[in-house]
Amino acid sequence: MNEDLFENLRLELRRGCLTVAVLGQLREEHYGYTLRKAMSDRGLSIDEGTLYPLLRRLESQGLLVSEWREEDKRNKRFYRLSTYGAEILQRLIQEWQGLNLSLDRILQAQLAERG
Amino acid sequence: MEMLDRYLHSVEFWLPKAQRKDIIAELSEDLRSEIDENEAKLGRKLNEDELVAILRKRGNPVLVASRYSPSRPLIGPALAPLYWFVMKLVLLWVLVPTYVLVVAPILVLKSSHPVIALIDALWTFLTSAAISAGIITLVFAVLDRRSVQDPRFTQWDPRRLPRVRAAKRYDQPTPRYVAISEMVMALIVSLLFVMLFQTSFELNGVRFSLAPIFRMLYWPTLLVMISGIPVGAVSLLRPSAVRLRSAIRLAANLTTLALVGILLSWGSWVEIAAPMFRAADVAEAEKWTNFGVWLTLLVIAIVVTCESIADIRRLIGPVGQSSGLSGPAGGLSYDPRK
Repeated sequence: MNEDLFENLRLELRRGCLTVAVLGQLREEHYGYTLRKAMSDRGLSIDEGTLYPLLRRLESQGLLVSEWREEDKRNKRFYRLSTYGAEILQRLIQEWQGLNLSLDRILQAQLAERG
Repeated sequence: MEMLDRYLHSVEFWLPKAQRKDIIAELSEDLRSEIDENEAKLGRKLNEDELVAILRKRGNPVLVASRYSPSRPLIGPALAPLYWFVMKLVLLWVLVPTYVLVVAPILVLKSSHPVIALIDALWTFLTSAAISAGIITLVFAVLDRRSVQDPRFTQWDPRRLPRVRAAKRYDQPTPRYVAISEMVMALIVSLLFVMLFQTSFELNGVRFSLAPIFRMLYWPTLLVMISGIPVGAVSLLRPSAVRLRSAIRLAANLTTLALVGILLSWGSWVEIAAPMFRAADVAEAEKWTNFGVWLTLLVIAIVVTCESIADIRRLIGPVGQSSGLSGPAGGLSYDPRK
């Protein structure tokens, strides 16, 4: 039960972070598979069952644009950040940095109290 | 790669129809990329177990498809596709036909006020539909809370996925033997109709008289029957002229629908005269005979409507349109721009 609870909280924590990570990574154009690889190479793995529905949702929200193109004799869907997506990403990064700073302060303060 | 096709086909089945092709194209490409990469690392083709491992890691087709569905609070995304499938199956394919073909006719026949009986049938249908939907939702809501631990979602085997059926093509040329039999049948039926048609006949002392409307519709009916000959001829002489064939058949089917509509509006089609039987029994026999005619006309109308829809799809659909996954590249080369 504890593991389930932890898993749910972990997924909740990751959900928002993944959105920012995907938007950030798509400042460069990628198709799904290379996007996953690029994120994984930077230490953030995301399974395809999460990635593709997320890409679809972000595109429907106007944050991404996509295009089907042929590469290596196969059709691939390439994604990149839209202009609107870039604006939103900028604001999300600021929010993330603010949160990160606050969390650091909270957690550091607790560690200092214990120490 | 047959197993890969079967996997994609199984996922496709549960996807929302509007996005189906696009999602499968992307998923197919992603799987292909992973397989290519693994094969490049190993320097050989993947064996069955290795492919099974990749597919198992991707997840059960129902779960994979569920991630693309909009989440619903009562039924979670894992069971949502199955929930909607069962709901459609029960409401559209069980309840509606049962009420249209069985319950409504019985209620109408038993009642002396057909309109009230129809309203009654509609009300009963709505109540049954609401109860069925409620039970299905309840069952799925309970299942949803237990499905996370269900081993069927985690311990599945890609080798046991159903085979991909041959794609159904809408522009398939008609085989020659079908075209010939179509023409022969149309000829035989038309000749029998001309030779045997009579508005009144006697059987064991019982006289059956058809309503005058049958005489009025004699020529249009014969025309519809004869239309099978040009349809067959087109198929025989120009097998690839699928649209011309569909156009002729659509015209014949629409004429049939109009004829059935006129006949249905008539209300009573057969009169029975049998002096040796009690009047009440004769009236009862006449009532059931007319019910049989009504039911037959209704079935004809449903069949002809379905055929017409198929023909309209052939006429407006692009040439070469097909459904399903099969294709020259084994279903792995999707181009959603097409």
